[in-house]
This record gives sequence, C-alpha cells and structure tokens, in this order.
Amino acid sequence: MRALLCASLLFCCATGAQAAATVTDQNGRMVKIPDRVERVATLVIPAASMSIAVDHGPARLVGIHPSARQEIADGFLGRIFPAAKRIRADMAGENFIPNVEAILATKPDLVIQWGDRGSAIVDPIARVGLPVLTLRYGDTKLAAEWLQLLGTGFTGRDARGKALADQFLRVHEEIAKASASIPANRKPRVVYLHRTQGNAFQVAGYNTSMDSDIRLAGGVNVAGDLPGFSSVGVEQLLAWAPDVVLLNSFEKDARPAALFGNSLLAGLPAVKNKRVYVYPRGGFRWDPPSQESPLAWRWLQALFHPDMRVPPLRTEMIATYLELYGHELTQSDLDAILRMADNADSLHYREKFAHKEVR
Amino acid sequence: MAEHIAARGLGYRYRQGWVFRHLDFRLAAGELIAILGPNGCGKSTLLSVLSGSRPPIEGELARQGRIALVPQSLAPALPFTGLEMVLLGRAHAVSLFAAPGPADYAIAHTALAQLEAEHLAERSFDVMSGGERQLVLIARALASESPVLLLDEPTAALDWHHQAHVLALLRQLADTGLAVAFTTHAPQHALDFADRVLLMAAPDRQEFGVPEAVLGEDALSALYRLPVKRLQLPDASASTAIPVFRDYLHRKATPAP
Amino acid sequence: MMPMQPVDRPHAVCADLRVLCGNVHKNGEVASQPNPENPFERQLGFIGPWLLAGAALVAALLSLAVGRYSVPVDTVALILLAPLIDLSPSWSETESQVVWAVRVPRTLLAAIVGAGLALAGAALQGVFRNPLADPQILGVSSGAALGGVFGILLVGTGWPSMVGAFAGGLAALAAVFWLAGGNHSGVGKGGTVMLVLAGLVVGAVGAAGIALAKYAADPDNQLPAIVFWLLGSLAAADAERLWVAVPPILLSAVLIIGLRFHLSALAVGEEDARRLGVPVRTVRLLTLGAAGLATAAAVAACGVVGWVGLVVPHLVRLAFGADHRWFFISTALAGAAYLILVDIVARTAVAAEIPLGALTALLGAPIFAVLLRRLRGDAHG
Repeated sequence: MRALLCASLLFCCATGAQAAATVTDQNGRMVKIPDRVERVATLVIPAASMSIAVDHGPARLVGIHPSARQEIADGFLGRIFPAAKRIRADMAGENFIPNVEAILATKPDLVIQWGDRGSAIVDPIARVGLPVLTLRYGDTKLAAEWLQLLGTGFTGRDARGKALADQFLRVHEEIAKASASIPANRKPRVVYLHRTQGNAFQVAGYNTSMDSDIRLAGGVNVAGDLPGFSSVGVEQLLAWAPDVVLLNSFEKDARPAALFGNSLLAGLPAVKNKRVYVYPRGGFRWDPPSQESPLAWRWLQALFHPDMRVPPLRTEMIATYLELYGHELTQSDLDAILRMADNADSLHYREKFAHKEVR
Repeated sequence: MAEHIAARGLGYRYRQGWVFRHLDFRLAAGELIAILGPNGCGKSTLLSVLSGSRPPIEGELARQGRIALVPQSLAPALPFTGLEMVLLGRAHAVSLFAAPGPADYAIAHTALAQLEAEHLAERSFDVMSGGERQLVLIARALASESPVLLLDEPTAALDWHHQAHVLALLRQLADTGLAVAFTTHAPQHALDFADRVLLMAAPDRQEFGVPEAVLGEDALSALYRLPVKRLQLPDASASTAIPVFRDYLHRKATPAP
Repeated sequence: MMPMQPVDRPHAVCADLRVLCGNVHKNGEVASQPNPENPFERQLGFIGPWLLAGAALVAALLSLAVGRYSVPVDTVALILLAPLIDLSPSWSETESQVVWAVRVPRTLLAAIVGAGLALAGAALQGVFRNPLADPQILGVSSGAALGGVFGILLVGTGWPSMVGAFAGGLAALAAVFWLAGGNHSGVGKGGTVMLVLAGLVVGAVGAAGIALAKYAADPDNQLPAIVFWLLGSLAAADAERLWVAVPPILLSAVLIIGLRFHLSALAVGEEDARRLGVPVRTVRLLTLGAAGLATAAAVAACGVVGWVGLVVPHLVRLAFGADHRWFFISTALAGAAYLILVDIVARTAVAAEIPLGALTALLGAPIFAVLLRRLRGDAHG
C-alpha cells in the first residue's frame, strides 16, 4: 500500500506540471491554468503593470506589449521596478496581433490576451499549445476581474488577486453610492478628450472605460451618444458646452494651458471656469482601466463635486502604492504623479490635491 | 514654282521590313499629286514621313512651309463638336496661354462652308458618320491655312457626289497656289484631277509622272493584281480605268497554271 | 445634303443631354440641325461658369450659416458684415468665433481644395487622353501622403506634415517623370502608357512607405495622428492652412485655365496634335506640374481626399459640354461647390466628424460607376 502511494506520488512529480485549475476567463473561455506558473506573457497593455502589482514585482513577467514597456519606461513603475524596463516587449504588433514566435521565445506558462476583439488574435497562441487567459475592455469595473484572474494566473497569488479585486469593487460601490445621491442637475457635464492635436478632437463615447468612469463619479458624458472614440469638430464641442474637460495623458502636448490659450475654445464653460484637468500618470496612466483606477475615480469625484467631502487623495495614494508595489511615495512623487505643475492653474486643483503642510 | 517638299531616296522600315525604299518625290505649289498603291504599301507611312512626324530612315527630305495632314481617321478621347475640331486647325496660330479669337472662329466657319459642312458645326464629332468626319477633318486642314495639304484617303467614306466635291475643291486649292497631295485607291481620281501621280508599285520601286503615262493597263493590273482596263469614252475628255472584278472571279475558280 | 446614315455608333457621354435638348430624336436618328425648339442647347456651355459660380456662392453661404453650434442666420449675416459696418455686437464672442474662426476658414479651404483637385483631375484627363485619370493615377497623392506621414513621424503634426506633403508630392512627380523618361516628349503611344505605369509604381511605393511608417509610429501620439490625417479632414482649417493651399492652387489654376485650348487639343492624340502645331511637350510638362502642385497643396492642407478630380470634371462635361472656353473654369467652380457641400455634410450630419475622404469616396464611387457604364458603351462602338 505504502509502496503504491510512493510510486504514484513519484509518478505525479515525474510527469511534471499538470493542469491545476480550470478557470472561466472574462469571455467565457475555459482555461486550464498550469500547476506552476512562473512565466507570464501579456499582450494586454494594462495587464503588464497590473501583473507587477499582483505579483509584487516583475520577476515572473517575461513578455509584454511594446506600449506597455514604453509606459513603464516613461512612467513611475519603471522607477520603482527598474528591472521591468528590460522585459521583452515584442509580444504583439498593431491591433494586438500576436507575434507568436516572440511569445514562444519567452517560454511562457500563461499568456494574457484581449478576448473581445475576435478569435483571430487568440487562436494563433492557443494553437501552439499555450494557455490563453482572455480579458474584456469596456466598463472600468471589468478590471476588478482582471485582478482576480491574474491572481489565479500567477501561482500563489490567488488570495492577493481576490483581495485587490474586492478592494477595487468596494471603492467602486462607495463612489457609485455617493454619485447616486446627487441630483441630475447638479452633475457636471464632462467630456474626455482622447486627442487634441490641431483642433481635430476625439472624444470618448459609450463603450469606453472613460465614459464609465465619468458616469461612476457622478458626471454626465456629453459625448455619451457617440460610439467609442469619435472625432468631433470645434463647433460640436462648443455646442456641448461641457463644464469639465478631461485631457488624455497620452499626448505630450495635452495640458490645460494649451486649451486656455486656444481662442476657439474660449467659449467653453470649462475653459471659462478653468475646469480643465489633465489625467495623472502613476504606476499606470489613470485614463484607461488599471490597478490604480480606484484612485482615478476618487480624483474625478473630487473634481466633479468640489463641495463633497472626500478622503484626501494624497493619503489614499500613499496607502495604495504601499499595498500595490510596496513603495513609499514622497511628496514630490505625489506632485509628479498628479501632474501638479500642469494642473496648478485649474480650478480647485491645488486646494484639493496640493500637499498641505501640517504644522 | 516653290517646291514645298523634295524627297530623294526616301526609305522607311518597320521591324518586319522596308515599307518603301529609294523613293523620290517632289511637291510644288500649285500641284495636285495623287498617290496610289495597294493596301499596306505604306501610303500612310509615307505621308507621315513627308509631313515630318517620322524621320526617314534613309534618304533626304527637304520641307518648306507648314504642312497640314488630314489623317485617315481620328478617335478623340474627349468629345468635340465639329466646329471645335475644325478650330484645332488654328492651334499653330494660337499662343500657349491664349485661345482662338473671333478671327479664328470665322476662318473655321469659312472652312466648313467650303466643304458644304456648316451643318456639322454643332454636332458631336463622335456621333458623325465616317464621311462627315472626313469633311470636318479636311475643313480642319483648310482652317490651318497651311501652304501644303497632305490627305490620307480623304474620299474613302464619301459617296460619289462628295468625292467629286472634295476632289474638285482640292483641284481648286491647288490652282490657287497650295501644294496638295492625297492618297487614293481610285486611279480615276488621279486621271480626272491630279497633275502627277506617284505609283507605289513595289516596296523599292515607284513610278512618278503624269497620270496618263504612269497609269497604263499593265501598270495598274500589276499594282492591284487584278485585270484593269483603260477605256477611252466616246466623249474624248474622259479617260477611265475600270477594274474587271469578274475576271478575278474566274481566275479564282480556275487556278492559274 | 448628307444622306442620313443610321448611327450605329453609341452615344457619347454628351449625347444623353442632346436627347434632352432635342438634338437626337428618340428613334436614334441624329438631327442634322440643332433643334430650333431648344435655343438653349447652343448656349448651355456659356451659362456654365455663371451657374456654377452662383452654385458655389450659395454653397459657401450655406456653409457659413450651418454647423453643430447653432447661430441664427441673421446673426451670421450681421457677424459677416461687422468688419464693414460699425455695429454694436448683438452676438456673443463665441458666435463670432464660430463664424470667423471656424466656418470661414473651413469654407474657404473646402472651396480652394475642391477647385484645385477638380482642375487637377480635368487637366490630367486631358494630358492622358483618358477619362479615368485623376491625381491618384500619377502617384502624386500617395507621394504627398507619404511625405506628410514622414513629417508627422519625424517632427509632429501641423506644419511639418504640410511641408512634408509638398515635398513628397513634388518628389513623386519628379520620380514619375524620371521613371517615364520625362525628358523625351514620349514620341508615339509609349509616352502616356509609360507615365501611367510610372505613376502606378510611385503610388505603390508611397503606399508601402505609409504602411511601414504606421508600423514604426508611436502608437499613442503619432499613429492616431497619421491615421486621422490620411482619412482627410478639414477640421483643422485655419489661416495657416489657407496660406499653404491658396498660392499653389491659384498658380495651378492660372496655368491650367491658361492652357485650356492646347490642353483640350491634346485629346486628338499626340502625333496629330503635334502636327497641328500644339507644343505638346511644353503643354504636357506645364499641365503635369500644375496638377502635381495642386494635388500636393490639397494633400498638405487637409490630408488625402480622393474622387473629386475624377467625378467633378465628368459631371461638368455631362452638363455643360467640353468647350475649352468654359470647361476648365466651370470645373474649378463646380469642384469648389462640390467640396463645400460635402464638407457641410461631413461636419453637420452627425455629432461626430465624418472623414472627408470617406464621404467623397462614398459619393464619388457610385457616380463614377454610372459614368463608367456610359463610357463602356462608347468603347464598344
């Protein structure tokens, strides 16, 4: 009997990694997660920094999207985890088309890919025998499940993934509740400018995460009738007359001063009242969904409803960064992440987010 | 008399071979010359070379005065009215950034009138019949007021009345001092209208001279490989050349020894 | 009197209008006289420029009056007159901005680009003796697009793309000339065919270059700008772009309209035209240069907008004939009116801006399909 037990144990160990768990990913696919996952490749851009957060570091992240590496290199995460700047970054090409040979070269145990853009970008990876965990884009709330799925992906991070997801959803619920109590006529009219170069504006309409964030934080997305990211002309912006303008963090020249100086936009209430804000950029940009989205929501909430009492963002950020990355933020770090220099002239910004010396 | 075209030992070839060689030709003011030859003997090519469009491969060619060439056919890519087509004849007189003026339009109308073709002025060139197009193209050549006219089968699509009208007009033009040469398949045209005829008997042999002399029965029969008879009509002024098609039919039925 | 011969040759594009005007009777016989019942038939061509100028003016006024930001029409009129008459403003600063800083430049740019592209198309149809020719055929559009893309890649949006487009367009033109042996006047039929083939090659190189550039572009900043610019849009119309577009297109228009007679004459064929005394090589060089210049300027000002040069000249020919006295002027005016109207749709139909290039293709392709069927009928004469 004992001999049989030992033999079967030896047999199990000898045959190596078995499918330990089968999870349903965000697109309903059944994915067999291997017993030991030590190497993860992700074609999903936010999943790179999210993996670093979930896994307490980039050690097991072996392949990422080129934009993700750009983001890490330019942004805060590269400072905290310098090794992340050297992760192989050719996992995908335009439109997330997988570079299968590059993926294989990183010898991943698990691959993360978008699952809502057609099977043509998923099948080539699955065909070479790699387990693919697919995610969905849309409402930022979906990112909670990303945290959870990544937790199940990285061996030993089940609990962490779940904890982060729960925290994520808790903040979501809290903010949703606060927004629900705001009467419709007190909700500011908001627009997110995805592109601002040369008076050729792009806004975020429905089915974008920015739209869900604006609504969550108790605002009205003036572009909510348009699909996805749509181009609009100056006249349309003027016709919408938004109270608040949110600028993307992608374009290097997108900052409030540029809009304040644009004579064509002088008629916008947002410009007149200087309620133009450029999105912060921390361990990941705050405009798209990420592990830092709860902070982004708090930021929006404070800007949309200056009268509302909200916990101070800086304190939240310090706590969150410790939780996510084990990193202690300095005051100047906070200023940099919050783009204090660019947003300084905008209404309420210093008041809400500047460091208050406690004497 | 001013000699507008003088060619000596002219030769032209395509890849397949010589079209004509050792060709001598002279065209002077006041002359009407007919050019005869079988299909494919290079009449159009000859006119092309004489007008300066193609450089001769052999021989010497001297030209004097502007030459207007009336092509056999034309298929313009864009629509023209008859008048607009005739107006093109004025192109040499219109400077680069200008357009034809009232005087040019008057000349164009006159040219059309000379050909009894005024009614074609406003019609679209591409819905005209072959004959109507020829009239317009000849009018175009007239409108250019060139001292030399070369016409490639100007009577090919015309009925007898219009053939007579055009040839009479060419005769008249020659009499007023123009130098005119035309190609034709009808020896009768040469006999009745031309001062001289160029007979392209073979690629390297031509006959050039007065129609009565050059267009003998043997010469014509050899040229068209068909029995041709020369007849003097009772009315002494008219001398005819008649192809005997029936003989050809018989010859085909009973192969020659 | 010419005997009436049955016309088995299919009607030309103009002939349909002639049926309307009574020149061709319904049984197919061609009337030998212009129909005395329709005195307008002869004068139709002459009316063209005036009618089209009126149309362009109406289109421009419409363009100034409508937009996503509503300004009452009478206010628009007052705003426009304000510089001339001293009025105390009864309108808001924003309304004035919308009219002067958004709609006026945009309308002007649409007009000038539309005119330039239409003229370029008409000119190229004359030079190539082919009703299917347009600025794309020479590869100039692709070259200009590639140059603009490089400008965006290497420097940024705005003036670098415009300078790049110019350089690219003219380089493409030079390349086409070099490939096709531009020094020779293209004696015989080989000339035009070589030019078309050279244009194909240059166009292909341009397209390939653009694809590579998109691959190399920074996906956050450059790639979206490139894609947006390639779709063609007048959204960024401002004084700067007008300065870029107006002088070259104006020069091009002066050249092409000046060459109207000799350019039309080319349609009979190079050899024939040369014999008639048309300076074929000079005309071709100047025309190609002018068309290239107009195209490069148009692309520089507002990205790639196609189908205008193809469709507008044909419509003008259909409606007013091809008489060189009016044709090119009419085409320019028609092009202006056309693009102004299309741009009105692009910026007011829905809240989002519809890419101009997409709209011109959407309109142009079906119109052209109809024209193609008519031309096919002609070709099988």
